[in-house]
Amino acid sequence: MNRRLAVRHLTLVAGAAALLPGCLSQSHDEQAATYPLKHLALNANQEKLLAEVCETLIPRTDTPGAKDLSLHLYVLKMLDDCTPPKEQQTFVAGLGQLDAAATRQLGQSFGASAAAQRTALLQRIDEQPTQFSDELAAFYRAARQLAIDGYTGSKYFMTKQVVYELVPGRYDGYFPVSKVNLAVPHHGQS
Amino acid sequence: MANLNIDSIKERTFDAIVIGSGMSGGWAAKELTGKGLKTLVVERGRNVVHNKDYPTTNLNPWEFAHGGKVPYDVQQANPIASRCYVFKEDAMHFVVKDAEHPYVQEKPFDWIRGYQVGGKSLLWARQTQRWSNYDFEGPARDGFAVPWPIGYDDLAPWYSHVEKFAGISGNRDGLAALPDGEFMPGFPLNAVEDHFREHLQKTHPDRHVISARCAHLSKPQPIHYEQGRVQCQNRTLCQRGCPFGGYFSSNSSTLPWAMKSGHLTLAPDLVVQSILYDEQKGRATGIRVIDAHTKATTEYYAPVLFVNAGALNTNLLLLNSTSSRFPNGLGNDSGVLGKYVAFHNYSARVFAEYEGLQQFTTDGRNPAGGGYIPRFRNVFKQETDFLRGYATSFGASRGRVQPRHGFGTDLKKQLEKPALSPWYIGAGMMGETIPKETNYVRLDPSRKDEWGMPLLSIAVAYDDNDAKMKQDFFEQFTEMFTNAGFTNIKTNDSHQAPGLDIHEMGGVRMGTDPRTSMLNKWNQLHACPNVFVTDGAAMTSTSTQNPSLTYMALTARAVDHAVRELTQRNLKTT
Repeated sequence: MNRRLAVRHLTLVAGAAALLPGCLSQSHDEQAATYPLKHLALNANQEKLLAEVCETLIPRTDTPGAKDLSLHLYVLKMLDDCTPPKEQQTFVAGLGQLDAAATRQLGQSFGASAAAQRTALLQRIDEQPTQFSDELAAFYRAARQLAIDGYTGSKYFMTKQVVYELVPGRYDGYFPVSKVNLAVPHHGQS
Repeated sequence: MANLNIDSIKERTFDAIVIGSGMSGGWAAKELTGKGLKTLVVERGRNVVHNKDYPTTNLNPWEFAHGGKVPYDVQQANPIASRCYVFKEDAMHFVVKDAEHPYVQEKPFDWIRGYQVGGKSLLWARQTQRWSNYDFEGPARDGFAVPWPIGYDDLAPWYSHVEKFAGISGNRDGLAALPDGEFMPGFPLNAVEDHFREHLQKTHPDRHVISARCAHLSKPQPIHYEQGRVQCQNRTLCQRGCPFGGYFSSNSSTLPWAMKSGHLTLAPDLVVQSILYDEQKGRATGIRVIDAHTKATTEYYAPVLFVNAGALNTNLLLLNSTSSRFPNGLGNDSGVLGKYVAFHNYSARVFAEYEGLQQFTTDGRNPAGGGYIPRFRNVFKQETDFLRGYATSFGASRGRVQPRHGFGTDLKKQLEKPALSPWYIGAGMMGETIPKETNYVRLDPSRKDEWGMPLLSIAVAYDDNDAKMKQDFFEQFTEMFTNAGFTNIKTNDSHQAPGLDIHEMGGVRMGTDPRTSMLNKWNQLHACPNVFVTDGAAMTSTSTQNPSLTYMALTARAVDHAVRELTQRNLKTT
């Protein structure tokens, strides 16, 4: 993939994120996902629900959260392009069961629930997966893993949190641990 | 019309033709043009111009569509290429896709190829060690293959010649089994690599941990600036192509140098179908090529030919170059063409951890990759129940402990403030394999590729000697790691097929006797001396060194000889 394609891809991500709020007045179950997908059959509602799941895992605090970084689009991209069909199907099926599980456990849909309740539900799936369907548990595991990958691999994280250097220009084999900048550790200091 | 034809033939006639533009082909081009020969380099793949055609070289990790991963459908379509460590999102465009260039596996063999200008020199691991006489004398001493027709003294000046130009970093370690070269400063060992080095000095004085010697510019010299290359910037993203020219590749070094001479014609996208042989003249006269896109055939002519197609493709080309004089392949009077193929056994690793030296970590990145342990088995005399031995790559580094539990703020905190792991240690075996007649390549009798070339059929496998050597590697490193205070020691047998080492060699071996070898001591076909083979196909045995540096030196030496012979008109007439 060349640089131009990469730029186009980033533009797509930004564009899709910008589109989301504008779609709220339409029927989301019938509407296709805003993000161009090759394999996954996902409607706009499911896409929005995934965004809420990601935001529950990695919320905006004093630093950016999942929605700010469009992590759900990263999850979708990796699922669509880098995941075997069977896992894709399981993921979509599990996502489809989330609202029913939320209604059972929380009395209302995932989207209608408060942040603390959403966290409580995901925590229950995390700690007691056997109490939920295989699909829902698999969906949760995959979404969690990919959202975290997306977060630690994001430009924000790799420039502000654990800094990646494209051109280190140095190597020190006896770097004192006492000199590691714990506030902003660098990838090179491993 | 007649005049037009004559003009056309004249336009297609050169002083020398080089087949292949990779590691050794680039060197042939540089040396031939440097001696004033009008040289044609044909390359079957597309052109890759230094810096211009490195599409991913300056991308940050987050700029890749899939975070560096290969999409699922690409993996499924390319099971062979996907097993190669460079087949990732950042460099997969430089690796041949399975379906594009099929071959036949009589036995499992992962044939990893790079069909483009520069070949695999863009992708190599850049490790460069000289052979010593203990390597060259191996076949004669241990009674396998055939004796090498050359020794260390023949190649030493040419090692120096190519090292100065390519730029090799390393220390003058003074080891009999691994001669020193023309070095820029070596990349240093880190705290734990040094710890193991010092430990071995006490327990096994004949086993040495040295800084890995590699083709990186640690302290560039005027000759490197003249090539447009500058100091290595420790990116360790080499497989993408380096904008600094920090490591040696044909693209960054030999080919642009040859181009600058004004004597090079570089012709990408041409598949060489065969080498033309003139029965009257008793020599090769040129090549027949197929345009990779239009499939049109053309011929080019020259009094001297260098075959640098990459070890197994060089075999394929010679096997496919038949005539009534050579019905079994060019120069193949002996019948050994395609046989005695060997490789390096890379299937064994030992991992460990170290709880000591926690006050240190590393900062920046080491392009050499760490340390190197030259072969210590059977060097001076036979001492084990297997022949030959193994060199070892050895490195230590600290990773990150980045727990991924919890939710929200807790989760973010864990990710943002990773702790340092203990030191992780890895040792990788690079074992010599014994060339055997039963390890061979041949032309498939019926199947052909898109260009009408017969498919190469490969029958190469490990043997008992490899198994015994691997067991010894596991035992020795487990013991040495234990005594060095390392913990959590784990042996790992990858069970990988031959080929994935990307060190396939032989099939057109050098030797003194035309009845048992293909090439003489100058890399000329015994039976067709204006054809030189100086890539991996020429290797009589493999020893344990990373092979590229030796191909470079063999090539420069052979060009020097070829030009002397041309001057004395020895190659022009029979």
